[in-house]
Amino acid sequence: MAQQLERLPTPGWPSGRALTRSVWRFLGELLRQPQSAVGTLIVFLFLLLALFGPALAPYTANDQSHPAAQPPSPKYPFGTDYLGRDVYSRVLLGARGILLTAGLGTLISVALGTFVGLLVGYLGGIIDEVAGRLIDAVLAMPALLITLVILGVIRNLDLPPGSWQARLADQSVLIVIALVYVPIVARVVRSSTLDIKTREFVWAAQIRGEPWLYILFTEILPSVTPVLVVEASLRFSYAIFLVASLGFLGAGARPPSPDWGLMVNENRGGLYHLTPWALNYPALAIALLVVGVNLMSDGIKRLVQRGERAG
Amino acid sequence: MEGQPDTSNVMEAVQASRRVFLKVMVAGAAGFAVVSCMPRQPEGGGTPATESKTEGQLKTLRVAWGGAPVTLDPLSASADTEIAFLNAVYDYLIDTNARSELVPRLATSWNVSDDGLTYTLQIVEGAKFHDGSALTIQDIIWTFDRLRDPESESPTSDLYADIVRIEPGEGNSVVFHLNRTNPDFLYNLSDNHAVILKADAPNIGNEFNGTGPFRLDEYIAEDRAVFSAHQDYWGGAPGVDRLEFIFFADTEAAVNALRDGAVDVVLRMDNPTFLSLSADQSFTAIDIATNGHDLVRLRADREPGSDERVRRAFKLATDRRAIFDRVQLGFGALGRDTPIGPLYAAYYTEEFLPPERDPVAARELLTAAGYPDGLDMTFYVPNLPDRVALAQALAAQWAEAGIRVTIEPQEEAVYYADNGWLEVDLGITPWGSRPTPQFYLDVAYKTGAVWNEAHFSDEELDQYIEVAGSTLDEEERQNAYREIQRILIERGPVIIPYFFAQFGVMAQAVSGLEVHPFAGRTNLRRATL
Repeated sequence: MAQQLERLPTPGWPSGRALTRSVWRFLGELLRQPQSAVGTLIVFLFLLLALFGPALAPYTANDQSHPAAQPPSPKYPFGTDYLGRDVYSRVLLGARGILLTAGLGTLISVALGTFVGLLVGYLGGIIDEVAGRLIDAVLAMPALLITLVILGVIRNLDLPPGSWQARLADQSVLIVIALVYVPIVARVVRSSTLDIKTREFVWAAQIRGEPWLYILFTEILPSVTPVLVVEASLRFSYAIFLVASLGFLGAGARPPSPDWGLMVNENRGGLYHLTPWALNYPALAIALLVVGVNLMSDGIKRLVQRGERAG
Repeated sequence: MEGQPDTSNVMEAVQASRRVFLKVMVAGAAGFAVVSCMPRQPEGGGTPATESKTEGQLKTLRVAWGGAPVTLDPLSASADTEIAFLNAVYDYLIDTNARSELVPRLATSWNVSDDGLTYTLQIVEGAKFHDGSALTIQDIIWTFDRLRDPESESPTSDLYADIVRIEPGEGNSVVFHLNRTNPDFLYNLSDNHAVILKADAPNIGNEFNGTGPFRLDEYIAEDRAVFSAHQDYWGGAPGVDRLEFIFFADTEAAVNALRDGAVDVVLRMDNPTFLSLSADQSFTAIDIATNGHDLVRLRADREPGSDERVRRAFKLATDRRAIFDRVQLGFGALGRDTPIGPLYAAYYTEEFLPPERDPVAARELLTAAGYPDGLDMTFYVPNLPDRVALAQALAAQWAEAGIRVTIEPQEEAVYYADNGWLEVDLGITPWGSRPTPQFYLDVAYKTGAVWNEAHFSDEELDQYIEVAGSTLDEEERQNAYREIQRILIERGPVIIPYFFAQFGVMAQAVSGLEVHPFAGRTNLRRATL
C-alpha cells in the first residue's frame, strides 16, 4: 500500500537546474509577445537604474550648487529645480528607492500571504470561516486609506530616538506596503489551496503521515506557484503606485529624498508654471514604470493561463 | 466560503478593463513625453479676461480666501479670513497702512500727555451702527473693557494690561490712562482684535452690528459671506455695492477661481504662484514688504545649542542670499537673523552683518565645541511648501559644515500640538507681520517669554528689550533696537533668512485696493470696479 502511494504522481519541486531552465524558457516566451516584451524591457531598464543609478547620476540628490530653475539642456538633460538640483540625477537616484520599497514590500507580502492562504485553505473549517471574514473586512477598505491610517499612527508615536522601535518606524512605508497586500495574496492562495488539497497526491501524503508543514510547502505550494507568480507581479505594479502615491501625499519618503512622488508633489502648484520639467520627468518615470510592470504582468498571466490550459 | 464562485468571467472582465487602462496609460505617457520636453508657457493668453459680475446695476467685489473663519468673536479671532470679516463689518479706532504707519479711522486725531500715561483720542462725529443707532464713547469704553478683562482668556487681556482706566473726555473724545509708559500703545489700540462693538451687544460672533463700511447680508460658514455697502458710512459709502468673501479649501483652489474669472481678488499665495500670475497680463499683481518671517531656531538651553560656538557654526554654514533667491524667489526682503526687518525703517540697521558663509570655519567651530564628527539632528518643520523648501536648502548648506539634519515635516496641527514646537531642538516657525518690533521681542526673545522657543536667555538682551518697550525717548529706543540686533546677529540662537512679501492679485477691473502686510487688514472700502 505504502509503495503504491509513493508511486502516485506528485508535482513537487523541480530540481535546481530544471528550475533555472524553466525560468529562462519563461522569459523567452515573455519576450516573444510584443506587448509583454516592451513591458519586460522597461522593467529591466528600471532595474538597471536602481542598481547603477548612483553610478550613472552626475550629481547627488540634494546638490544645490547648480543654477536654479534651468530648462532642460545638454548639461542638465531634465533641467534643474527651483533649489538648483539636477532633476536628471534625482530621477535616476529615485529609481532605487521606489523599486526597493515596492519590490521588497511585495516579496514580504507574498511570502506572508502565501503562508496564511495555504494554512487557512488547508485547515478549513472554523479557522477558514473566521480568517475569511477578517480578510474580507480588510479588503473592503482601499489600500491607500489603510496605509495612510497606519502610517499616521506610526509617525506620531513618541519613540526614543535610536531605539529599535524608532529604527523600525523608519521603515514604516516598507512594513505597511508588506502588510497591506497580505490579505489579497492570502485570499488568492487560499482559493487555489481549496482546490489542490482535494487532489490525490495530497491525500497520499496525508495517508503517508507526512507533517502538515511538509504537505503545505512540498505538495501544495508548487501547484500554487503559477497563480502566485501572476499575483506577485500584479501586487508589484500596485505597490509601485502606492509608494508613489504615499510620496505624493507626504506620507512616504521625507524630503530631500529623490522620491518620485515627493518630487511631483513638491513641484506642482505655482512651481509647475516655473519649472514644469521638475514635475514632468518624475511623473513620466512613475507612469513608465507602472505601465511596464503592468504589461509584463499581463504577459505573465497570459503565459500561465496558457500553461494551465495545456497542462 | 466553501463553494467558491467561478471567477473566470470576472477575471476576464477585469483583464479587459485593465487592457483599456493600459492603452490609455501608454497613450498618455507618450503624449506626456512630448509635452514634458518643452518648457511651458505661462497661461493667460487664452484665459478669458475676468469680468466683474453685476447683478442688475450692482457692483460686486468677490474676494477669494484659502480658508474659512473658525471664530468671529473679536476676542479670539486671529486668522486672515476672520480679521477681514471683522474689518469689513466693524471699525478700528486706529488703522495701520501698507508701511505699518498709524492712520486715523474712528479716531481722527490723538494726543499723548507729557508723562506718556494719558492718551486722548478724538472720535469722528456722526458714526452710525448698521442698526441706525449712533456710536457713543460708552461703546468704545465697553469694547475695551471687554478686551482687557482678565477673565476673557483672550491674548488682549495681556496686551491691554497697562490700561488702568478708560473714560469719556471733552467733546467727542475718549481718554486712556496707563500705569506705565508704552511707546507702542497707539499700535496696541490698532490691534487686530480691537474692533469697536456696540455696548452690551448680544450674541457676539454670530450677530454683527458694526459701524464698518459693509453690512453683513448672508453668512454661510465654510462657504461664503455676502456684505452690502453701508450707505450711511461716516467716511463715505464704499466703492462697491456688494462685497463677497468666498472661502476655498486652500490657496490653490482660490487662485484657480481667480484664473477662471470666478473671483476678482486673491490676497494670499505662495511665491511661485504669485510669480506666474504676475506674468499674466489679465491681472494686476502687487507685492509689498512685510515683517513676517520664518524663524529657524536652535534651543539654547541645552546641548548642542547651549554652546555659543555651535550657534555661530550654524550661522556660518548658512547662505541667506541663496535661500532668499531660491526659496523666496527674491520676493520680500533679505533677513539678517533678527526680527527687526527693513519695514521698521526707524529701528532697522545694517551696521552689523551676519557672518559671510564659511563652512570650513563652521566645521572648525564645531570641532572646538567638541563635535569633531559634526552634528546629527532632527529638523522639525511645519508641512507647508515654503518651509519644507527652506529646510531642504538649509540641510544642503549645513551638510557642507558637517551638520547633518533629518527633515521631519509635520502637519501644522501636529507641529503646534502640546507645545511640541517649543520643545524641539531644531525647528522652523513662521511668524506673521506686526506693525512694531516689540511684540516679537516681548513674546519670543525675552528670558522666560511665553513663546521663547529657542529658550534663549541673555541678560544684556533682556535689558535692551525692557528699555525699548518702555522708553519715550526715541533716540534711546533706536539705540536699544540697534543693540538688540547686534546681540542676536552675534550670538542669538536664531537664523532669519528672509522676510515674506504680502501679495495681492486682482482682475484688471479692480482698482483702489491697497495691499496690507496683514492680508486681513486690507482696506476693501476704497476698492472700485
